Amino acid sequence: MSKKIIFESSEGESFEVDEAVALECQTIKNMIEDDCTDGGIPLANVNSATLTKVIDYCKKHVEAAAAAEANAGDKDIYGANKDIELKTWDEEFVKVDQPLLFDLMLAANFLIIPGLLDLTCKTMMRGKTVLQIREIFHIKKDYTDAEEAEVRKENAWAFE
Amino acid sequence: METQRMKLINIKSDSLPLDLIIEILKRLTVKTLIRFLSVSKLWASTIRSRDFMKLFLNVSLTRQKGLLFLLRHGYCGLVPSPKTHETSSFTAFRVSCYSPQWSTVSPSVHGLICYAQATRLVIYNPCTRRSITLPEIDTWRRPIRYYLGYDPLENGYKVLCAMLGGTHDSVKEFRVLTVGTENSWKMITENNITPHAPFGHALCISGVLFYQAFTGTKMNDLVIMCFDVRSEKLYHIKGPSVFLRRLCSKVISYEGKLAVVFYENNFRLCVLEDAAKEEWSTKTFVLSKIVPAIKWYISKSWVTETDTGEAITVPQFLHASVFNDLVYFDMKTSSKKTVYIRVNTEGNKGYYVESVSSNLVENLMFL
Repeated sequence: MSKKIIFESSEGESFEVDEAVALECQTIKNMIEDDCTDGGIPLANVNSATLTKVIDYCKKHVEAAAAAEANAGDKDIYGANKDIELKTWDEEFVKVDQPLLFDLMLAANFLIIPGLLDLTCKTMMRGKTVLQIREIFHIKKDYTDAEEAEVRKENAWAFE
Repeated sequence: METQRMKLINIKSDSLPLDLIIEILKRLTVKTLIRFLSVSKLWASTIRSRDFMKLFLNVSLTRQKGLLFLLRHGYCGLVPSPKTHETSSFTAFRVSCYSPQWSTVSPSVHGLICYAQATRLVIYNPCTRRSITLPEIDTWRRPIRYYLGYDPLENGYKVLCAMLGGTHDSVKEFRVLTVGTENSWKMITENNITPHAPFGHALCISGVLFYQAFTGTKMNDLVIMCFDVRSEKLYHIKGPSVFLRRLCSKVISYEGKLAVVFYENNFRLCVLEDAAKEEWSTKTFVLSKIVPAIKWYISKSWVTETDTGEAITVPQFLHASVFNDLVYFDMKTSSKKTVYIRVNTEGNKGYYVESVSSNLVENLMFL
């Protein structure tokens, strides 16, 4: 039986996952290599809802990688379909509300899950205006109106 | 190991750490980044920082290369990721620092191009639509050749300027300038540079600029001149042995190596396999075998090469509101594929193509 790793969410809820799944997170991988995962890993800034999604993502990608390896011998149109299937799965996976997507991106960043970070960053930024960006990331506008108009004027073509 | 645990615990979830801002920004396009300069001063200074520009360039270099069209009357068009068997479109825009001399522009160096405008050289970044004008060179009205190079270690651009006027149009002296940090041209004082007369485009691969030149007492032997951008040393290497015909050869990059192509009855590609030993390998592709029509295409089109060994034929005139075919001939697999380009334009006018580069990389320089 494979080794289990226990994550603890910010609400104190425990999540038991296979080591292979936890290894998808570079940060956790380092901790496992340093042998400091006994007694569970507290993730004080990841809530249960986000952690559930993160584990789903890692599980799916571990399974997909294992399936791809098993089929490596006969790379044909079927292999390509698998890639498309995973891509479609990813697209469905990020169809969540903005706050959860934001939390997923933060989690992917500090747990270091490159695939999830790429997916969430791209989804987050797709088609966003400057105002939406400020709102989503809680960024206070530090330009005066005149300064902002000037910055926009300098590169008016990019807003066309 | 406690620190690692502490790190996991201490990040507040409502603020955006700077490393995450950078992760987000490096995935965007130049156009989006330019819009996001107006998000906040922190975002603007991050996007404009030297470190971020370098990181962004390195990410861009791993992406698919785009097409850069220089069009007559000072227009420019970009297709960042052309897809075969699909339609890509672009809207041509007017370049403010236009010069009629850009018909002779070399392929872009990491997205930047260099051309002469009256007595000065301009370096233009079509992605940011920004340019800088270099200090005047005192040319004594001699013709000049100029080459843009990139030094990946210092992350800097330099321009090498060859001033002609010797016998058989050979170079009398060289000047060099580091873009952005130097205000005057330095003379290259090395005296053992082989006398030579440059011709054709230049190419920069891994910090070395290459261009073809004639040398010898009668200036009819061919060599390839090399300029190490970092050390500013000039030297030459022997060309491939088939290097006999004049002016129909072109230096290109092939799988990261220097190569010379010849379009004659055949398509011949000579690759510099070992730079230290000056060993070239020659591959000959019979054009009629690849696609019988390639000769027709070449006679009607501009030809540019990708660094994976494809020759792209580009029509000399891009018609408005119809699909213009760019045909990619893959020499290795003897196959062809087509990219359809649509030009968005007001009215019914199309554009004459002055030159095409197939190695466009998104770059934030001069923003």
